[in-house]
Amino acid sequence: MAENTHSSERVLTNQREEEVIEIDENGVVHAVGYTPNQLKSTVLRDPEGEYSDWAK
Amino acid sequence: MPTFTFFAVDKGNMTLIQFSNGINMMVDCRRSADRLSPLEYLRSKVEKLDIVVITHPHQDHITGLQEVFEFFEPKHLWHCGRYFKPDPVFDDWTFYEKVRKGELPYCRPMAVHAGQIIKISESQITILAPRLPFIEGSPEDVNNNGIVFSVVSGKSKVIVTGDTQEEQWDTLDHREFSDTSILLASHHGRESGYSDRILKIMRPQRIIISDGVPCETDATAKYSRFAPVSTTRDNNVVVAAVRDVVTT
Repeated sequence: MAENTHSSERVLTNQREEEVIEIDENGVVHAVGYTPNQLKSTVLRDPEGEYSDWAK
Repeated sequence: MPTFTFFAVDKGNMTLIQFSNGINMMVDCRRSADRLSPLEYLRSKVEKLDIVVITHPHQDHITGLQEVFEFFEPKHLWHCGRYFKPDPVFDDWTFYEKVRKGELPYCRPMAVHAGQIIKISESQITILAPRLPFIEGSPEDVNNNGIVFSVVSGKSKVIVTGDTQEEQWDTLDHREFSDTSILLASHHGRESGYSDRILKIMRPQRIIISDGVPCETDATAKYSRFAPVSTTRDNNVVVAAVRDVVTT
């Protein structure tokens, strides 16, 4: 990176693409993707009211 | 539903909410030396800014405020209504006080409190905190009198917090927090803003932590027990209505 690059340009270059989270019409949050067409549908809400240990 | 952008501002909060009728709202404002300025971030997304919400006037929620106001001239400021004077006083706080007192000709300040409902387009904003009378004598009264609100659009609910701590969580109407789709974690995902009890009520599907390098009191692992966590440590996080989801 050239030293004389404007700070904003440098930040923009270094910053990754935005992470996109989508919600459908039923209020269901879909999996994280970096472009919408890469998203996969995953229902994360637990109907039994218990919390899964998936993240441990 | 509106589009939410949680900007990567390191330790601090800055969120843009773009409602479907063209109203744009910024919640908190944070300038980080290593990131785009708040004004640059906003200009990359919107051409106008209508409403500014400052959850509470701590430095990591109001830096860069003046240049945003001078450029966009937003018509509305929503603030928590509680006067706090930092020691030492800093420039952004002085400007915030000027706006809060109604000294800018183009901007109307409004103190918001729990129970107020504002409808914008198809979304309903419910102010959940602060509740009146204000909390006095807690370990951190500035954090504990901040604004918390929900944005409900159809069946989605996004909860936006400032730096709410246990003392304020205790005062809130927990029924308002059930079935949360997305939660912006309080106090940048630190232990001080974490409440196991309120998370069990919310049952969020996704949690967003607005923070930079994790500090010693980071509670990301605890939040991860409830839902997947997205952070702004590397990049902005955008929450939007589904457009083209591939189901497998």
